This record gives sequence, structure tokens and C-alpha cells, in this order.
Amino acid sequence: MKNIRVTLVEDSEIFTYIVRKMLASFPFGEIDFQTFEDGLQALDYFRENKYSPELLPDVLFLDINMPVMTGWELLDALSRDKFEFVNNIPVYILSSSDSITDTQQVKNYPFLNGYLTKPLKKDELFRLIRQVG
Amino acid sequence: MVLLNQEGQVVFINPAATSLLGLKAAAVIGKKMDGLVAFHHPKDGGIYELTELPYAKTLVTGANFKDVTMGLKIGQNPERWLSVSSDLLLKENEEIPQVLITITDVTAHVQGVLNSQTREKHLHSVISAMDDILFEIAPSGKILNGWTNLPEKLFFPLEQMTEKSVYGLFPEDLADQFRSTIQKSFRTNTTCEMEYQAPFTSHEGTWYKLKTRPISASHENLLVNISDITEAKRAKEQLKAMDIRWKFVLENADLLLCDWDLTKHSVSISGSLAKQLDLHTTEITIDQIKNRIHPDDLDTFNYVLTKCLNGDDKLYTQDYRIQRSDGSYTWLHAKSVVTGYESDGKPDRILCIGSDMTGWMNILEEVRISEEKFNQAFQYSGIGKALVDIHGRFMNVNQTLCKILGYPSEILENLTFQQITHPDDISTDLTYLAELVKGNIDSYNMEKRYLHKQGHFIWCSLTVSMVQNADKQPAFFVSQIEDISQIKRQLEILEHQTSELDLANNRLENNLRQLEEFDQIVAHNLKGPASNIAMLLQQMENCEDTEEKEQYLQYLSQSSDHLLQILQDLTQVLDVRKATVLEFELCYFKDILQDIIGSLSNKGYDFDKVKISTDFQLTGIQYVKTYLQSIFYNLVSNSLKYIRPQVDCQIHLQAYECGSYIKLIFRDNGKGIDMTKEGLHLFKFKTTFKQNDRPGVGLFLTRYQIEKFGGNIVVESQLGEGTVFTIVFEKNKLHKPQA
Repeated sequence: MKNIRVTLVEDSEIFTYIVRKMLASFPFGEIDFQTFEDGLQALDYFRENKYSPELLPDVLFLDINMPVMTGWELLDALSRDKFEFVNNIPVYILSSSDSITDTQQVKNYPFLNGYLTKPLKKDELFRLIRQVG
Repeated sequence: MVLLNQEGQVVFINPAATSLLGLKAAAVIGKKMDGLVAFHHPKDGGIYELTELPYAKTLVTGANFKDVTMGLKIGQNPERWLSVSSDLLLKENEEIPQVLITITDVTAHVQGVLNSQTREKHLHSVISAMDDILFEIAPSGKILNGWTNLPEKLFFPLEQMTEKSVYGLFPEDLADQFRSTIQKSFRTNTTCEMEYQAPFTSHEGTWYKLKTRPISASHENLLVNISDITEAKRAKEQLKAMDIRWKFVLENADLLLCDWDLTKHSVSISGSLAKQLDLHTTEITIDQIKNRIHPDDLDTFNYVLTKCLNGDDKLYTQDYRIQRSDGSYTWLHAKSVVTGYESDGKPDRILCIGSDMTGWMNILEEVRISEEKFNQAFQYSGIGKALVDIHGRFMNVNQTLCKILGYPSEILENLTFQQITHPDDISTDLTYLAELVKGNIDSYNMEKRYLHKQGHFIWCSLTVSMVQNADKQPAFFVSQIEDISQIKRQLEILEHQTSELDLANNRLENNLRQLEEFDQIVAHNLKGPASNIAMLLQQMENCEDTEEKEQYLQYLSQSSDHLLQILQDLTQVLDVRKATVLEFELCYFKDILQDIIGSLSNKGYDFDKVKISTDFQLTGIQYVKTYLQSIFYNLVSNSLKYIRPQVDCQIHLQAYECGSYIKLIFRDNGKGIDMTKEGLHLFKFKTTFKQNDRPGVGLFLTRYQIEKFGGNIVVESQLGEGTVFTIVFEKNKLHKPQA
């Protein structure tokens, strides 16, 4: 069975560490956990591997409030550059903000599958990843 | 009768001869005739002895000397003319001839002949003075004699014409005319004449008049007089043409011609205008004319008439109204001239030409009304109005303008607009005026300041248009000037209020944005570490790995610190925001810089290795001093924190005005900022605290303290070269404290 590539774009080292630890106990398959500290790093990677599907994520989690390039800016770039893979995988916003400004913005991106607020529960994380597997 | 012998001695003299010669027979017999009487020969004018010619000639030639008419002078006696004849008498058988001189008194005859010769001489002199050609023509048409003083006027030399028929010399048509005229003259024994044009190209265009006159009743020949009438004919034609023109003018030029014969007390009137006035067929008296003069014009008419009759002037001009038959009046422009005078010098004939000027007078009336309207509109307008000559001088001003500018009209009309225009407005005004003169614009409107008589300036709205003369050249300008100082003041108030409103809006927008930002800070920055703590605790519950637990604890500590730092920053931000009394004061940049250098020195920054330079073209601004101190503190400390290793720190501060803005620039030669990564988030509230991170709240607060009063801050930076922070303040937003 193919490993599930879980990609997290998050500037908080602590949150990334916690997610990594959570995924280490994922019982339904092998996880390849990929992280980027900001949206620009992730975008550069996607551009480099646009035609290598095996290197692109199976599920994508994005923080909003990041330096250099925010989560929204990354989504704009993905739409503008017409990355096909986002239409075929679950893409989630993962943010500590529950402001209506942020949650309403989800509607602008048809390929977004959901808006998750921190703190993130391990069960919820596993459920979403399991859907992919 | 006198008989002379061969020696010329008188042998016999009869009484008649002695009487004729005034001699006594006794004194003469045996004496020579020579020396006794002398004869004057009429033909050569010589003086001859009686015996000399007839006697000697007769004696020598043997021929008789017949009928020689000679003048005889006897003492003081009147001249007597004698006809002298001589015959050589030879008696039979005598060899000595004798001469018989026969003397006849022909004085009466000679006098007649001499008179005739005198007349002929006189006639010749007359003819020689004449430019005419004279011919004597026989009834047959033959030219008997011709005389002319101007042979070049003859078609043929005179000698060629003599003895030839006049009819044969000319083309048939003309010859027929000659024949007809000449024969008529012969037939009727009267004077006849004809005019003809030269039939030959040599005299083309020349006109002649032929006049025949019988020489006398008893004389059968005709005297023909031919004169060159070209000039006369031309003059006549010109006169005729002139006559036609005058007739045409008189009939069509709406003129009235009055010929007043003072001796008859009547006025003869003609001209087409006379017809229109029903005066054309009437010969009326001057009183009848007076009855038709408009009452208002009668005094003037009488005054001019009196002057005319007194002969004060030669030409008189006046305008008056004359009544038509329908009762309406026609304006006449009349010119009169005295054409005849009595022996005492008083005029006895006056000619007057009148033209209808009703239309013109109507136009004048319309112009007068129009001018009156203009004057009314000009003088009593609520708007200041002026007519300005092309040099800018006020020609006419109305009272409203005088009131606006405070000058009496007599002073204002001696000024140019340039003299009372604000120096800053003159260029614009003259530029517009030049465009107007060039015809590029029809009019212009501008707001400008005029110098009031009291010395202050008045804001006015000026509208200028141009009036051209008949040659399409600028004649003068029409200026309309409205006092808008009140409106200007209200506008200033309105602008100030708008500015205040803008500031309030700006403030509200800032507040709203800051609230949203605060909401974001709370949502992201506070919840972020809080949720981390929650998740770390959750992970720790099920964690049995000691090393892992230690990591969780370390992260818990970090998150807790992070949370506390955020709370502290937020508290600082809230402290800044909750300050409700913000007093503007004049903040001098140098003073503030000195203050913050002191503060930073106290915090351990070593300024010995820092070169701070300034270029404050503007010494300071009105601002909230604590804010400006905070701005200086954060930006200078930012430069000090990111000094490049081994490079002396240089900080340059600059302040200057730029239009309606003030620019304050902080430039350093430090590490610089990676604008790609940090540019967008430089002035935002920080969420993470990594090593070498920019301070979280400093630039955030700086931006807040600048934007609070409508300012703006931008950053330019190159890694390894340095950073430039440029703050832009709007002048009009700094003049009043903001709550």
C-alpha cells in the first residue's frame, strides 16, 4: 500500500512538532509527513514538482497566518497557476482564528474541503487522513 | 494830260492835269516833271518820279505804259491815287518822239481796292488764327480755293484738292452726305451743316463738322468751313453721360432737389424722394415747406435758413423731419448751397439736396436704445463691470466694481488691471489674455486677487471677453468681476470641514482596520500559542516517553512565554490606543533625536561607533511628541539592532517639504531586510518569535502612530546594503490635534 503524503504548511514549530507526533501513531497506514514554514516555500515546491504527481501531497493542511506568504496567498497562487492536484485531494485550512472574516473566505476557493480550527484533535486529524487512504 | 518832250520837259499840260497834280501850268511848262511830283507804286511800295517809269520806260522800250496806278503825294494833301498811262507819240516826219502821259484820278477806285486788300489781309490773319479749314466750292462741287492753318488735318494736300470735285475725294457714303448738304445749301441759299467721322485710318477717331455758307446772295460759290469737333464731341458725350448719371442719381438715389428762386418766392422740387414726399410736381413756397417741418425741428430749420439768406456761409447742412402726406415723418439730411446772388451780394438762388436718412436715424435710435440698455446693464449691474483697453487700462467702470475694489471711478479709470492684480495672479491673467487676443479662446474665467484701495487683496471671479473693431482687431475687453471673497471664506471653511471629515473618516477607517487587526491578533496570535498549549497538554497525557515529555514541557514553556509576550505587546498597543488626549505641539527633529540617543545610550547602545547625520530642511512639525519620540526610537533602534558586522553603522535622517507633504527619511547601512520574505509583514503584529526576528510590536506601533494622523510609512531595503524607511505626512492633517 502506498504511503499517504500529508503536507502541512505551518510557521509554528511547536504545532508542526505536535502534528508530527500525532501522525507517528496513525494506525491506518504509512504517512509521509511533509512540512513548509510558509506559503512561498510550499509554492516553490509545488511548482518544481508540478508534473511529478507522486511527489505532490495526498492531503494538504494550510495555516493562514504565516510570514512571507499567508495561506490565502498560497491558495490564490495555486488557483492562478492552475495546479490540478488541488482539485483531486482534500485541502484544509488549519487555523487558530475562528473569525468570520477568515471562515467566510473559504467560499472563494471551490477546491477547499474545510476550515479546521486549532487546537486540532488527533481523532479528527486521523479521520480526515483515513478518508484519503 | 501831260505831253513831255525827249528831255522830259513838259511841253503841254491841260487844266485837268494841273488840277490833279496840284500844279500851275505856267510853272510847269518847259520844266522837267522830275522833282515836281513823286508817285508811290502800290505793288512794290517804291517811290518813283512821274517821268521815271512811264516816261523812261516808254521812251526806252517804245512800249506804252498802260494804266499804272500810282499814288501821288502832294505836299500835305491827302493821298490821291492816279492811273498813269504813257504813249510814245511820233509825229509824221519827226524823229523826236514825245511822250503823252495820261493821268486819271482813280483814288476812289484804289481806295476801294485797298480796303478790299485790307479786309483780305485781315481775313487771312483770322484764318491763320483759326483751326478750321475753309474751302470755296463751286456749285459743281469743285474746290476752288482752300485755306488752312493746320495742313495735317487735311486728308490730302491742299494743292491736290484744288480744282477737284469734293465728292470724288471721299468714299461714296460720305460723298453722298457732302453732296446732300452742299446742294441743299446751294439750293436754299442757307447755311447747312453736317458732322462726320474721318473716313480714313490716318485720322481715325476724329470727328469733323462741315458747315456751308453761301458767300453772298450774288455770289454763286459756297464757303465751306470744316472744323475738328473731336474734343467737343467727346466733351459733349461726357456731358451727356454725366447728365445721364445725374439723372439716374436723382431718380434713384432717393434724393430731393430744391431749387429756390428767391426772386420768385417759389421752390422748384425734383428727385425721386420728392415723389415719395408728394412734393415732386409742386412748385411751392418756402412757407408751405415750413408747414411740413416737424415742430421740434422748425427752430433749427429757421436758424439755418436765416444764416443761408444772410449769406453767412456758402454751404449749409442740417437734419430735420418733413411730414409725408400720410402724416408720418421722414428724416432729411439736407445740404444747401447759394447758387446765385443779387447785385448787393444777397443770395437770390439757393439749391438744396436732401437725402432720406430715416433708416439711418432709426438705426441710430436702435443704437441709442441699445447703448442705453447696455449702459443700464453696465452701470446698474450687481456684478462689477469694466471696459478695459488693449493695454489694460480701465476705460469705464461701474459702481459695483468701484464698491468691490474701494476706488472712486475717476481713480480706477486711471489705473491698469495689472497695477491692482496680485503678483501671483498676473501671469495667469496675461496668459489667458494673450490667448483671447490670438483668437484661441472666446472668453476666459479665472479667480484672482485684486488690490483693494485699503491695501488688502480681494478674491474675485473674473470673466473676460473681447470686442473687435471692423478690421477684426482687438478694440477693448469686457471684464466682469464678482467679489467671491465671502464664497472663498466659506469654501475654506468647507474645505477645512471636509478635511476634518476626511480625517475623521480616516481615523474611523484606521480604527476599524486596527480593530480588525486586533481581532486577527487575538484570533491568530493569542489563540495560536493557547491552542498549542492545549495540544501539548493533550499529547503529554498519553506520552510515556521521557525525552518526548521533556520536549513537550520545553514547548509548553515557550508557548507560555510567547503568550505572555503577546499579552504584554497587546497591553502596550492598548496603552497607546487608549490615550484619548493627544496634544499637538511643535516637535523639533533635532531635539527628539537627542532625546532618543540619550534613551538608547542608557539601554547600552554605544554611539561612539555610530555615525548619525542629519539634513533637516524642515526643523520640525506639529505632532504628538510622545508619538514622534516613539517613531524615532523604534526606527533608530531598528538600525542599531541590525548593524552589519565589520561595517561602521551610519544612520542618516532627512526631513523636507514636498508640495503638500512632509517627508521624514531614516536611512541606514545595516544588514537590510529580505523584502521577499518580510516585506509584507514587516509592520504587522508578530506571531512567532524566532531568533533574529524583528521586534514584534515596534514597527507595528510605529505604523499605528504614523497612520493615526493620516501619514504613511514605506520601506525599501536590499540585503547587505541597508534600509530606508520613508514617512510621509500630509501637511493639512497635521495642523490640528486629533482625538
